[in-house]
Amino acid sequence: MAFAPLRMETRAGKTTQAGGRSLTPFSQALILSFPGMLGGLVWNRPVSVLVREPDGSEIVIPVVDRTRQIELALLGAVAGFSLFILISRILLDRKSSGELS
Amino acid sequence: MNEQTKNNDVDLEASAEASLSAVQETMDRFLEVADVKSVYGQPVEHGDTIVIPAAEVLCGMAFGAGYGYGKSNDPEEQNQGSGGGGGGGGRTFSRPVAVIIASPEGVRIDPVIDITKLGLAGLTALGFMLSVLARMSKHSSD
Repeated sequence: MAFAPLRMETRAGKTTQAGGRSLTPFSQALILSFPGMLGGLVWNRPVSVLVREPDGSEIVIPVVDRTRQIELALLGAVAGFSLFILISRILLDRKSSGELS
Repeated sequence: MNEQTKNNDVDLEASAEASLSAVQETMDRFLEVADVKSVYGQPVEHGDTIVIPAAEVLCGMAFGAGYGYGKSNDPEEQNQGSGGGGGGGGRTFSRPVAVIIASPEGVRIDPVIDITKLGLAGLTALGFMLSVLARMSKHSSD
């Protein structure tokens, strides 16, 4: 197999029985390693749980990282705010220099 | 090559092999972080309910090593030697993400919200926005 410095692996965990149901957790790992170097970075997170009901039906429930979602929303708000300020400043500068009537 | 130099080389090879073995062992343990077992905890039973904790794990590390030989430039001196060294470092972070709860009513996943982390991120964002506003108002008044 060719060496990949960046690879994503989805792995299934041990199935747990709960009542008549079976639960299989899945995780996704991002593995970063550099050729010729000892070391690297591994980011592993839970992604979903497969639930098998006693009647045989299957449901996949995603594992939502609410903290990350809120952090990203905050980052988006800051980026949007900065962009708004930058555009307003450019428009104000143009207006004050008489480019805009 | 004299006896002393041979002994030094044997010692150096032995210590290099021991270091490589230690690094290999650490690398194997590092790659275990990518396993699903590091993300999901042991199921906890409480009556009819089973609780499985889930966390995200971030691990980074790096190693480096080197060695070399040298001898005196003076042809009358027989001094020569060798040496080597290495080092490494790493860090692992873990944060709870959610809790899987399986009860007779059904299976649900409750998120774990890190208030401290969000509070710090919110304060940083607020500080950044206030400083941008302050600069903007200063610029307008100039």
